[in-house]
Amino acid sequence: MGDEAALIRAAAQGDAHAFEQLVRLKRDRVVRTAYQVTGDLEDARDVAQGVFLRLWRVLPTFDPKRRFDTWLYRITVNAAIDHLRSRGGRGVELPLPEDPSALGFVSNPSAEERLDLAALQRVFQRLAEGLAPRQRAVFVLREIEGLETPEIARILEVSESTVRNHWMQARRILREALERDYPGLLPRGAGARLEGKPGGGPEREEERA
Amino acid sequence: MMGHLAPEQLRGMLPSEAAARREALHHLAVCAPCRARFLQDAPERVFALLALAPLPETVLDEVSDGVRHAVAQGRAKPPRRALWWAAAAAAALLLAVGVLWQAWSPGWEVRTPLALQPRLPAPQGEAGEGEEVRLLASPGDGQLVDFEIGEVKLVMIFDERLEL
Repeated sequence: MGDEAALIRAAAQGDAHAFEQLVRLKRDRVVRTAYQVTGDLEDARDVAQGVFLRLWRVLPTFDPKRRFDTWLYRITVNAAIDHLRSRGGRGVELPLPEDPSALGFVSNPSAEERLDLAALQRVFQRLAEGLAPRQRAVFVLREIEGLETPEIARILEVSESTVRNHWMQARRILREALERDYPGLLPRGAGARLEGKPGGGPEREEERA
Repeated sequence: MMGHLAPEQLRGMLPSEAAARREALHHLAVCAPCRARFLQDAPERVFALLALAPLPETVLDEVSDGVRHAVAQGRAKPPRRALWWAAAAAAALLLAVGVLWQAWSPGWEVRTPLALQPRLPAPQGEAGEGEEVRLLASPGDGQLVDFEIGEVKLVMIFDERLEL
C-alpha cells in the first residue's frame, strides 16, 4: 500500500515511469470492470485506455486523503456506462453453450467439479443485456468486484438505498432469466426463498449486516 | 484446497475482505456440493465467480502499451480545456500590459491633430447646431465615417491634412 501511495504521488507529479507501473498494477481491475459492464472485450480495452489517459490528466487533482480505488472505479464505471449507452445498450451476441450442463453449475453436486468460467461469462453477457446500465454496474461492483454498498454509493455518487434498489432489481432480473433459460441447471427450489418469505432471503440478511 | 465453506458463506454472505473472498470463490469454483448450497437461495450469485475469470494477457498488454505510447507522445496532456484557459489568461495578460503601458507611458496624452483644432472662435450657446460644416480641402487619403442616432446624423472625418 505504501508502494502504491508512492507510485500515485510520483505519477501525479508527472513521473511517466511511475504511472506506467500504476497502470500495470490497476489494469486487471479496470479492464475486468469495463468488460463486465460493457460486455465486450474490445470495448473494455478502449474504455480502459481512455480511463488511464484521463487518469494521467487528472491525477494531479487527486486528494490523497481519499481512497484511490474508489476514485478509479468511479472513472471506470462512468466511462463504461457512457460507452454502453452510446452503443445503445446492445452487446455482442454470443452463442449459448450447446450443452448447458457443461456450465457445471450444480450438474453433479456429489463430486468435485470445476465450473466452466468461459461458459459462465457468455451466459452473463447474454442475460445482463436485460439490465439497465446502472443496475448492471451495481451488480458488477457488488457481486463480481465484491465491494460493499457504501463504497458503491460513493463510486456512483448516489445514496445507499439507491444502490440497494439497483442491486435487488438486477438480482431479480438475472434470477428470473436464469430460471427461464437454465431451469435444469439450478439447485432444486433455488430462488423460492427469496420471494415473500419474511426474513428468509439473503438480501434481508445482508441489509441487516 | 480449503475445506468446505462455513454455513454463513453458503447462505451467500461471502467475506468482504478481498483475500478471504477470493479464497472462498476459488473453493466454490471447484467444489460442486458447496456451489449447490451457495446457489440454493440466490442462483444469480453464480456470477460472483466471474471475479476468477482470467483476462487475455494480450488485451491487458494492449492497454498498457497504448497508454504508454500516448503518454510518451504527449497526447494525454495537457487537456484541451486547460489549453483554452491558458490562451484566455495569456490574452488577458497582454491586454492588461497594453493598457498599463498606455496609462503610465510619460509621453502619452490625448492629442488632437492640429488640422482639426478650431481656428474660428468657439461657437456661443447652441451655436453650431444646424450650421453647415463645409469641407474646404482634403488633399490626402482621409477616412469618412458617418452614422445616425435617431434623427441625428454624425459624420467623422479622419485626415491629418484636413482644413476646414
